[in-house]
Amino acid sequence: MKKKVLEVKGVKTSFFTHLGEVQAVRGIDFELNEGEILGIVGESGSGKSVTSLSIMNLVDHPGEIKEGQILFHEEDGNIVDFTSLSSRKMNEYRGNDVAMIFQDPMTSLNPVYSIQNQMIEVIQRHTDLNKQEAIERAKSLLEQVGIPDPEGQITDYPHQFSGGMRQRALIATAISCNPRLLIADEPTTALDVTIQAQILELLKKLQKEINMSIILITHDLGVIAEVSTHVIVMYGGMIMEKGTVHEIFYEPKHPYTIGLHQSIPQSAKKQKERLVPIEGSPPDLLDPPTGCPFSPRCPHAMEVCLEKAAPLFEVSDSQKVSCWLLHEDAPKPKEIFKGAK
Amino acid sequence: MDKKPLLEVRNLKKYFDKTRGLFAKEKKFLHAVDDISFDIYKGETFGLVGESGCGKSTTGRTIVKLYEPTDGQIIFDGVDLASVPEKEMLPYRRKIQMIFQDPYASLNARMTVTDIIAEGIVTHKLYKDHDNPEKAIQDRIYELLESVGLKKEHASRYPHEFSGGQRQRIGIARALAVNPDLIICDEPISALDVSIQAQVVNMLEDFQKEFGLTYLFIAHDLSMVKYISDRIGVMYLGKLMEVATSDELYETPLHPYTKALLSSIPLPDPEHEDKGKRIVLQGDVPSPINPKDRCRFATRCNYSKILVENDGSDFKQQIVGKYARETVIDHERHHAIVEENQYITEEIADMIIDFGVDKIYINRSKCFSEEPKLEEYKKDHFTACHFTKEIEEGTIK
Repeated sequence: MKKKVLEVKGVKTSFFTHLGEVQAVRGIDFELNEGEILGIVGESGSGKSVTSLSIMNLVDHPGEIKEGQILFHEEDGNIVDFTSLSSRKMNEYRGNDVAMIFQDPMTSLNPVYSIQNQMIEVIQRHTDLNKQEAIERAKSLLEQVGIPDPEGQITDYPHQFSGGMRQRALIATAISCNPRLLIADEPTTALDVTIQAQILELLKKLQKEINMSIILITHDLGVIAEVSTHVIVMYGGMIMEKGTVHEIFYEPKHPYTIGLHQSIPQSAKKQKERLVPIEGSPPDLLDPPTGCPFSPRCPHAMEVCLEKAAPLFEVSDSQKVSCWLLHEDAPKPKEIFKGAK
Repeated sequence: MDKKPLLEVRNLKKYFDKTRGLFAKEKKFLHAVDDISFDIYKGETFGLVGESGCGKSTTGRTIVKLYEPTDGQIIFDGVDLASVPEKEMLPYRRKIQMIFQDPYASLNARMTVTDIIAEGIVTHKLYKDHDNPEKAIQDRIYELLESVGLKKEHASRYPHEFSGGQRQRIGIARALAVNPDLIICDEPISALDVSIQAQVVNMLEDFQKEFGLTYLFIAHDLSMVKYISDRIGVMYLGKLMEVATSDELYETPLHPYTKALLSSIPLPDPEHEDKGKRIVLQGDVPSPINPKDRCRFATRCNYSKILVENDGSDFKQQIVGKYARETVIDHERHHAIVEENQYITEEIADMIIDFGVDKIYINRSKCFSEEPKLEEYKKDHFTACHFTKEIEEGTIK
């Protein structure tokens, strides 16, 4: 039996703007075990980033976690609910047990402090090391993430680093206290493909070396396929489908997941086939559809889809799909699944 | 396909002056586009790929003369645009249109959709001989909106009322409004969601068939470029590294950079046979300011380094006078013994040996002293590398 790291139960997060309530995350449940890399994939506005901010309890005014629990399992089996913690108590977990890296490595670093100062600030905050020891630790972390010549470069400022090196420095800082969970929110989106490849390799290597769990948030199915062990597909603030990486890529069941696969060119196929786009555009979260969020764009939508969102139907132990087509009374049109590889 | 070039780019250069200060010792030029040549045939889609900063967007912008080229020729339909004075550019600006990456920034927020699309039509006086030009323009706008999948009612709205995908459709309608021959698509789908990208790509393909358009498709998303392009040029640091048909380029890439670039694409296929065979490039793209005369890719290329092993005999002689390829680190002190690209003197060679380093990579000198030309290696397949033959034959590893 694998040890659990995180359980997310019925989390709803909204932002109260002058236009009304933006329901960014509308009730999601999932869990993460030790050593897993969970990919959360979705388009802009699907709620994937707000999910990660909710886990870190970083949702700021005008946003608010309205409902739900975020249960973090500590190494010793102790369970804490992040949503119930004061911000002061939460700070003990941030950086120590749960760390996060963001999309844009320039804005996450302070331009007026050297890399060394920023790293030892984090290290000293969470450990008892003195300054010299913290600097040594920072150097060995930089070496671990593949910065050539840490001795010479640790005193550089962020602008002297390239995008890929900045992201490496941030990863080094994030893993400085051996977190149990690392949340990476679009860590490679701002980087070029050759640099992206380096960072993805690094994340995989670190995951093995320090046995942490990773939640990787991205819009790129390729990145998910490359590193994840498990996948969650989000749309309109809800989970459409979740399963192992094999299930999501080879046996997708939700029309949205299938639609996503069909709208990207399959480089493996030699014959040029016309792309099959998903018609329409994503839902307005100020006024989300009452039923399944995908129903207005879904080619197989039924009456019930427009009225009520589907529960998660269990396809296998790991694969759960929120789609009424999997209800036993639903028609089973063959062509729905022909898009699956 | 008609094998007649619509656009011939010859030795195009675009340098930006980055010299700062009155007393600067030397001029600093950013070589954004540095001596590139290619043809685009009528009715085809030519893809230009590369990482950020490689000069692909600058190439597109220089072709429409949004930037004045530093040197070279842009021969469009037999006329060298580079030598056409600004005042006489108008008729060519109609024939070459552009679609931009950011659908938020490329539409004027204070103009209605009608104004945005009509602007080109009015500027180029397309309906001036018409009995009722206003009506004709209005009809044309409705027709365009319909063909890009929008409705008549949208004509009086402002850009902020549309989603990203819809805005990109307006941008396409604007480009089509003046009946262009060539459309330069500068990352037209990068800012869009995956499910919307396919809608726009399909639309571009339909218009190409319908109006016989020629596209220069600039993008960094390699799988989409492969899908849409007939031929592809790969750029790196202002240079063209390889030009081939898209199937050929993806199946048998020749240039080491293209190979690495292709293997870096994360495939949306977790159990693909090529998984694990990835070529991960070391390091970052070097600065494009005053680049040296050498292969631009040499600093990151896996073929431009030579492994020298210490077998006890002439290790020192082999490395003295050469340039070290990688930093050699003293792991105990996290301190570099030799920096990347440092010249190895006798003393340094002694230090290397003293530290017990038993192998070191040094730079292959031809890659670092001479610039390779883009040459035809096999039919319609051009590459710029000194050692293509050796690499293909496997004599260099």
